[in-house]
Amino acid sequence: MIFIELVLQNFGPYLGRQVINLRPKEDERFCPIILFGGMNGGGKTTLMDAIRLALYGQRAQCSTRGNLSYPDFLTQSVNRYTAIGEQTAIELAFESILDNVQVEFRIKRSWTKNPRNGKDTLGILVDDWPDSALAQIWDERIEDLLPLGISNLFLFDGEQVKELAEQDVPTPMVVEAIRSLLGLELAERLATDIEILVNRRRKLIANSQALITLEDIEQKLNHQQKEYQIAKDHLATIQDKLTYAQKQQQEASDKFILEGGKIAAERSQLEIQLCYQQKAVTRHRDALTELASGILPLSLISPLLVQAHTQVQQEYRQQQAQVSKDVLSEQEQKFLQYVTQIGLDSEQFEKIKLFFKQEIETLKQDIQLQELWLLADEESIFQLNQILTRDLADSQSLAKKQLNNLKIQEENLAAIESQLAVAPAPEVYEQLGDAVKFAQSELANVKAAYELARRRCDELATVIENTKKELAQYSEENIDRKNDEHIITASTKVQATLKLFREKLTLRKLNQLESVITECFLYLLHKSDLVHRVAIDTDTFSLSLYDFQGQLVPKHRLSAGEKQLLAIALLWGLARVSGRNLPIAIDTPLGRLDSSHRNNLVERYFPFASHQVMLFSTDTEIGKNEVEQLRANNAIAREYLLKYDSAKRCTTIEPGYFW
Amino acid sequence: MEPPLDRIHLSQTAKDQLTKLKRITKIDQWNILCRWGFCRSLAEPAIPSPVPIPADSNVEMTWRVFGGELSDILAIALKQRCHNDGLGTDKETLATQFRLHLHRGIGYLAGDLNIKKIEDLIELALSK
Repeated sequence: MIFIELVLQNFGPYLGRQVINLRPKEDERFCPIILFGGMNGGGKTTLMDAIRLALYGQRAQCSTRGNLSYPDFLTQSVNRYTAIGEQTAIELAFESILDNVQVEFRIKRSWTKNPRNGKDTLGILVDDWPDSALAQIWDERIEDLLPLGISNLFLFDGEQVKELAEQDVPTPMVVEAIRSLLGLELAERLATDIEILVNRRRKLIANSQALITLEDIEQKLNHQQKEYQIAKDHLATIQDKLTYAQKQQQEASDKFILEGGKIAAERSQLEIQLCYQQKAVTRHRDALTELASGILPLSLISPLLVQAHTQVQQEYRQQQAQVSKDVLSEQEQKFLQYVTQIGLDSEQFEKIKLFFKQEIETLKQDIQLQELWLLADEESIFQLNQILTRDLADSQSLAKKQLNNLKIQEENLAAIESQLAVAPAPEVYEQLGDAVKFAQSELANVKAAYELARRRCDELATVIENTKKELAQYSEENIDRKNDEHIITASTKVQATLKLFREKLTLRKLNQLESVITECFLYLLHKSDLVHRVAIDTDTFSLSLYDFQGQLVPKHRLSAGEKQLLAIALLWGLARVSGRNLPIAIDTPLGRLDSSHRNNLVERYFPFASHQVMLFSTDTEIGKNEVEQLRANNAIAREYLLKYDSAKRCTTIEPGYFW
Repeated sequence: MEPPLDRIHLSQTAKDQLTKLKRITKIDQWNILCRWGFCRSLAEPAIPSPVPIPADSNVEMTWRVFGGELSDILAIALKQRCHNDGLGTDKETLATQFRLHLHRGIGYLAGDLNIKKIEDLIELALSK
């Protein structure tokens, strides 16, 4: 990781936009040091703060922040001469590896006075492309690149170093930083995670109640499946029956419709005809009865009637003759008187007399032919005449006709009756109806049975399904439990292993650290006989020094400068042991050090502390000699001078140093 | 014409026979059946046997009811028959002969096995 560029805009004492190139390379030469010169209050610490703020935002531990809230801090950091509407911004560009490719990140934070939402606006550019997704998770991302916990060991100032040196036991922050630098926290986190995992699994196991054994469930399932099979077979049988019954019912119904309907139609038609014919016959009979009440019986005695008729006529004639004789006798008397009067001769008179006599004789003969006994009156005679001449014959012919008609009707009737006799009897119809009813009731029964069987099947299927589920659940739980148990047992082992690993790792790392720190410390120290070995406590990470005789050297015996050198040695050692290639920024690097130690630092530490070393120095710390020394070693890549303009009350950054 | 008798009383036998005839022919009037019986007897050439006929039934009718429109004709026929049989035509003879003929005729009709329904009765009137 190399810082490339820092841009300040209206931040702190820096008015306007100022771009600081931080590239440690110059003309292909490797020069790690970027030297910033500035008087007290000139803005050196502000630059350091700017880097911290850019990297960590709200979480940054800035020197001037104190207990201020982040929005208040942001507001405070705005340059007081900033024009209204103009933004305050910090941009930090650095090179790092992302997905195995070296890319250039550019962090851009901007805000205004009294920032909205109390926050700054963060923009992350990767190779000049804005990456909003990365901006969202920047806080996590930066932990991979430069964890906040160790940032103080790489971006530190002399005051902090002094504190670090004077403390017997390092602060928890430093301890954390050391741990994370040495990679110890990973093992610890792993142990904790395993512990959590074990606890969770234990809880799971505790929750899973004691279940019936797998065999029981399987036995149950087998039993249920057998039952289901039986029920299914039963269902199939009943289904066959149902199909058969449906067919039967259909056939019976068809037959009923076909034959029954025909029978009913035929019968009813025949019965109507029969009724009609019967009525006709009755009608004819009635007519005959009517006739019988008339003159028809007289035809039995027609000869008698003819005789009577003759007798009547004879009697009539006799009566007539009697009347004629009387009239004639009267007329004869009158005529004879008249003839006597006119005086006809006697011969003629006798002749006339004889004529009359003869006439009367004839009449008398007529009259006396038979005696009168019938003595029918005129009306009866007329009636008799009528009957004999006309009525009787009429009546007879009518009777004949009626008889004929009756015969025909009776024949018809007989024919219909025979047809009816041949036609299917109502019993057949009833039989058909009964067959249909029977088939229907059969069908209903079978349907009910089918429904019952189907339900049984369904129920069993559900039960089996449940049992299967139970089995699956049980198996799963079983597996889970076994898994859990395995995890728990394995975890214990892992914990033990991990503990061992951690101890060994700590020892190893600390041993390494101890030797590196000792090396650094001795390298920086001009009193080479003071300390032989630096030891680090495995728990508290406090340093203790031992002399050549193996005796503990109490810390208070060290001078303030030596303590500071020890702290720097610690930092250097940590940086080297961690293996991280991170830039180092040192604020006020050479306070309280004598010239010998300064020289050591300038000569031995600064150029080799890292591949990028930013030094923020006053003119007394890295003075003319030191600068020239560094320059002579080609250690300085860039020099900047922070000029504070008291009139404008702002600082500008210019290339170059005090000298 | 003067009726041969005023009221006609039937014997119980005749009544029974008439009841049978009524059933067979469906003619439900006594007088009509009596007419047929009377005519049936007159049609027989033989003189009816002079048997005593009791009037022991409750069936009785006047001559006019018996003859209806044919009253006179039937009287004439009776007279003629009596004359033919040489029995004289006095009222007493006529009455006696009428009763004999009536009961004989009813007996003939009731005993005729050929008469089973009205048609057979009508056939009688057409066969001669």
